[in-house]
Amino acid sequence: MRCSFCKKDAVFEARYAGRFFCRNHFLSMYWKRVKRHIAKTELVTSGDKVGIAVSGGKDSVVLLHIFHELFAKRPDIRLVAITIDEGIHGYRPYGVKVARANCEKLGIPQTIVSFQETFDNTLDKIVKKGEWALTKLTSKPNSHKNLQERTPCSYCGVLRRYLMNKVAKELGCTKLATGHNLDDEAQVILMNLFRGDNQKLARLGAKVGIKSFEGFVQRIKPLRVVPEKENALFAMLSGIEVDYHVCPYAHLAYREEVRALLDSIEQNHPGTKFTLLGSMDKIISSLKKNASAEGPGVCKSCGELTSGDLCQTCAYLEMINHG
Amino acid sequence: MKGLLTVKIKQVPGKSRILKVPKGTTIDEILGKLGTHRDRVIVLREGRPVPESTKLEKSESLDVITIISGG
Repeated sequence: MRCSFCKKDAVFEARYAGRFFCRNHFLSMYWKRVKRHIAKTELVTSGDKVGIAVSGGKDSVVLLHIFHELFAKRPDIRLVAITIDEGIHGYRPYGVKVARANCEKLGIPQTIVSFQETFDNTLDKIVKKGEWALTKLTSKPNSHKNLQERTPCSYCGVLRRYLMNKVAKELGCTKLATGHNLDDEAQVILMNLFRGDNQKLARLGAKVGIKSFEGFVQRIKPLRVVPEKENALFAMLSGIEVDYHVCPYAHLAYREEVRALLDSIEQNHPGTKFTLLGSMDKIISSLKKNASAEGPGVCKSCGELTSGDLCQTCAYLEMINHG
Repeated sequence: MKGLLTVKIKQVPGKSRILKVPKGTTIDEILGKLGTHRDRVIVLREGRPVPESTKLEKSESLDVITIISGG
């Protein structure tokens, strides 16, 4: 196979565009797309201190390198890295090590915080405590919703987002950048559609949320227009060290079912993931208008912002600690 | 099995496998036999990424790197 632009050996086929790319043309296309997205959505502006969520996986490490390339020399923008150690045996230590190595290489200060030191629990311990619940709930009819809420990924996601926001605030960040890619975004659109959760759909976008609130650091997703595979290829072709260990709990996630469905459709209809994201972006502004944007209250337990009496993190911790 | 190509596959993570396939089989078709999908892996031939629509014309070795990791 030859590059559609220069006839060198192709390393990648973008079926959604009907084109083949050699190494250099792939990297050029990749940079062009990411830069255009960041500029068009005004994700980073003068005066920003950006916290970059770095797990050590390909998406977040690539994001770290891209932001370093784009912003490290700008005196009006500061970059810091935030790494969360969830406590997943045989998985997370590798990611933390790779994240640290990349931050050191680029000279970006890194803060590492763990579930253990913050919640007095690792995800492994939480999963172990929750096994009884999984066993009990699977035997009940119509238990899907409860079961979903108790999968490891649900706990992990809520606790990790809480911790990310907390650390970003403590560091004085004005933005929190995450490495979510096109596949992540397409999956979450379908998951929220299937669940009928319009409120969560309305929060999607390059800038996360319906409106900004003091206490929530604005989350941004600079790589949401990049297919997951292209982040991996970018890392590989750029010689960036990333961690490819597979999370032992990933197969339990609802997301995994949706991923398989989307991949299957994409196989027969290339470009579906882009189309899904594009369609959602077109209707997202009206969804935001219709969604409830009432200001949050304060969690009676931890003082963080919440829409109820108890924030989801404290509700989960209550469940984890007291069953 | 005369006329079949021998393809040595190293899956990362995973086991190594040997497949016998007809000449002209695409890498995409091989991924299907492995139960995976082109969006979940990068396929390397002689250490270089190759497009999945590449047709195999001779017996050779491929590395299949799984790139998805989280939930």
